[in-house]
Amino acid sequence: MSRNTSCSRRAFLQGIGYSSALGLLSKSIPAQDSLLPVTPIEFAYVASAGSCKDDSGIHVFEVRGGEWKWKQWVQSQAPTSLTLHPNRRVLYVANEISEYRGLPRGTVEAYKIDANDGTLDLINRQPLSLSGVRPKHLAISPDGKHLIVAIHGGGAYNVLPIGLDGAIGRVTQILKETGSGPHAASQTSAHPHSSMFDPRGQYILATDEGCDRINVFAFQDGRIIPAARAACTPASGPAHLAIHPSGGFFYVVNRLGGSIDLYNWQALTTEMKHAQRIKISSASGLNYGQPFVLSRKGDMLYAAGIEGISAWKIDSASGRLSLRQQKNLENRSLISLNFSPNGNLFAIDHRRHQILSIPVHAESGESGPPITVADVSLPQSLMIIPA
Amino acid sequence: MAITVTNQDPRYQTLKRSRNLRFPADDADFASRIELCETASDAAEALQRVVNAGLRPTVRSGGHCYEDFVVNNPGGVILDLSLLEEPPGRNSSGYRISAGKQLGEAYLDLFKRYGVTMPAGSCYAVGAGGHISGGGYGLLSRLHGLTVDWLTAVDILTVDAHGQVALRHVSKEHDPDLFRACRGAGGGNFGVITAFYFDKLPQAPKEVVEAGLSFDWTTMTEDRFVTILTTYGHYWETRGKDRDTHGLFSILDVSHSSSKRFGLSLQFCNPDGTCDDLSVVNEFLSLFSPCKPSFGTPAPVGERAIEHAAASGEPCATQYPMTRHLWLDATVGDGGGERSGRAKYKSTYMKTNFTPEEAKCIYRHMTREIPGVDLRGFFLAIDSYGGAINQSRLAKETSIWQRSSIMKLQFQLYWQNAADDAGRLRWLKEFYSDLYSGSKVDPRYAATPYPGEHYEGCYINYPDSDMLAYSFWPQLYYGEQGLYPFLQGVKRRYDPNNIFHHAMSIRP
Repeated sequence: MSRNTSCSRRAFLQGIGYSSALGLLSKSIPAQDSLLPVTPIEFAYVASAGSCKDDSGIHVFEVRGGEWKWKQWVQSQAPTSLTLHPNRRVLYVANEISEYRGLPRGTVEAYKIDANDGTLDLINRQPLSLSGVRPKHLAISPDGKHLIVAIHGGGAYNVLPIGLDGAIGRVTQILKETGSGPHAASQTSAHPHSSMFDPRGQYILATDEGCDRINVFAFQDGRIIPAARAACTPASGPAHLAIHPSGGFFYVVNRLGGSIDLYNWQALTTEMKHAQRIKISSASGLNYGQPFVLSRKGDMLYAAGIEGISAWKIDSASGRLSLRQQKNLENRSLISLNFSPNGNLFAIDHRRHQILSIPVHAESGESGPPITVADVSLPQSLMIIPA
Repeated sequence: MAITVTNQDPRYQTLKRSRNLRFPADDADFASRIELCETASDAAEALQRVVNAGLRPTVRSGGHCYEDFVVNNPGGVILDLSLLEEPPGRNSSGYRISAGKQLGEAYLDLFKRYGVTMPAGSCYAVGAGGHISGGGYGLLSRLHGLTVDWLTAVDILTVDAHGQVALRHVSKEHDPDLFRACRGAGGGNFGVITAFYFDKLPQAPKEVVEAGLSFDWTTMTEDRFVTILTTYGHYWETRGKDRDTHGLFSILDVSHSSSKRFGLSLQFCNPDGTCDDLSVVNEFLSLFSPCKPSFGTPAPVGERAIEHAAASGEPCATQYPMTRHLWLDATVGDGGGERSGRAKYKSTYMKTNFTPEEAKCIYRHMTREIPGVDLRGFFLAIDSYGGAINQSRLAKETSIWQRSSIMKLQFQLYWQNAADDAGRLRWLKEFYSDLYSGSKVDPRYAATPYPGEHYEGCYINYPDSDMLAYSFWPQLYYGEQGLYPFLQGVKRRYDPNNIFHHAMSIRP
């Protein structure tokens, strides 16, 4: 679909109420209580790459059930990986850029969240290490004192301290990764993609898309220490990762392979064992972003592929996935699936530059027709927090 | 096994430093340890350990980098090659020079063993590794070309896509693309060079003469200053291209007026390595007679000036004062120590003479007084260039593409105290920006000597991080004829994980 990509923020819709459309939807899907929460209020943050430097930033919306009301736009260069501090008062952003003040490095930013209206106020911007270009993902230690940056372009991890005021300090650790994979276009070097603390906060699980590798890092005294490594299927491109709330297994999407792998995880021994692979797309080469999400109860996994969205039932004991529904969505390209605190599922339509609400049946877990709640130019990632 | 110096070692405080005490800008940016490598195997083993640990290696031979490329390595490791013990030798691969060798030591060895020399730099303690990989020019370059023009092979440690260290012997026959990149693209880009090889090297001259003259700032006028600069530039643009003058190398060291005098120094030998015919020198010096010079009166000089000019030596019975020296004495001297201090450098290649507009601009800044800013430590070293360097075919064989210049300018500013950084750096930046914003400069590239009819960019061995402010900085150093994309391809092939990087390294 063609799209106006000129450098004008006014060129796109800045948030529209879709509550009436959600009202129509209630006739087609049962158990509507789960679809139309009216309270409490939430705030949504949408990172927009923009079509030029001045048009790149973060949109802030107030979310009342299905109604998204645009509140603010803050300029931010190539924002990605929106991450909330455990105290819920600061938003952290990775800037997926290749140069900052003439040097080859990306940056990270901290924004204070206004508790009343959710608007953002920049606290500070901190450069990453030299050659730390195009960071892809942020993780915050459970104690809120450190930021772990997976640097996709530069093939490294950076650790940065977080001050009491939320400000990001200068880089305190650089861990350079080396390696490659057989995919000629995407795996000429290491490309750390995602990192996530295990529920106990002792270890970090991290994927490397360039090397087909999952790393386990111990996290001690504010430093990451390689503890274990697992080789993935060659040319699979492990990317987004999510640990099941039980802590006993985790899922990794293979961006190059168009699939999701299940791994059993023993935190005590740092052992991980591959247990299952499901195909979520007929084509290899998924979009970047967050192509799958676990339901808040951990009983369902929703995945976005080329054809549309699929719903998978999670076996609570083994973590194994069984297909519940494959829903084709023509002319849409979904990324960044995200559950709001109220339990509503949202996604970015990368092709139509829209934010979608995806109704989910409370009992079957099946999804209904998506509903557009906002239009945003070149949306990249999405995060929703309670007000 | 390399000697490891950690931050608990008494040697650490000394060895972590740059010779330029401005760097690194923050104490947190120092490397966590230094690995002193005594052999190429030491270097390979140390490099492998560094890579396996996920640390960043930077490489040091002499420690004279003008920017922070080596010592700004927070938490990383400096591989120091200054103790590499393999002596220079000659085998089937030619003359061998270890990367950690100081130039002065290399000159001594090559001369004593074989009677040959490299046309490399004049600073005794500069390390071969960085100097040669960035091109390597010096007092004999107009006569014999650049050092990389003579280079025939290199030993280099690279890190492959799987993180494994490999020792490569690269030449025109083996990994020719990497070999070309090692011939002038600059240090710290592709791997750790441990040795250079030369099939042939030029015979060292038997003797040289040195001479100098100086001018009095207190009586200087703008007109006379313009005449001095344009007379100097005109010579290199015209007569200086003739073969019989290629043995003449000169530096016009323009200092700030607060230093009272500025001067010119030269070294000369005939193409046959003798000083039997000094007519070229007399002819050159006579050009400045209308400018009221003082012959033999010393003037303040930058660190690269020809130290012995107009000083000791055997006086020559010639029209102008000059002294005769055996070439080795003139080149190596007493090996003198070099002080550490704070410094800032910039550079320019010039293809044609100074315009009066440029000379006036230089005069304006040399006579500008800034309260609280002492500029006696500034020198604009205007080196003669060209001669044997300017063989266009070598632009394609090496990574030094500047083969049309007649002068090379090095802006040098020295001081001691950190409190004086801001004022001095601001003045030099303003001067340089002003000089390259005149009528000869395309407005798109204002404030830089962008390659064109008049300029030929900058020299990567005199790196200037101020140029990073311009998106076209790679073209300033590597031109616009495809060299930079070529080097990016070499980078992706031989250092796919960008293990070797610094602020101005080739970006993959």
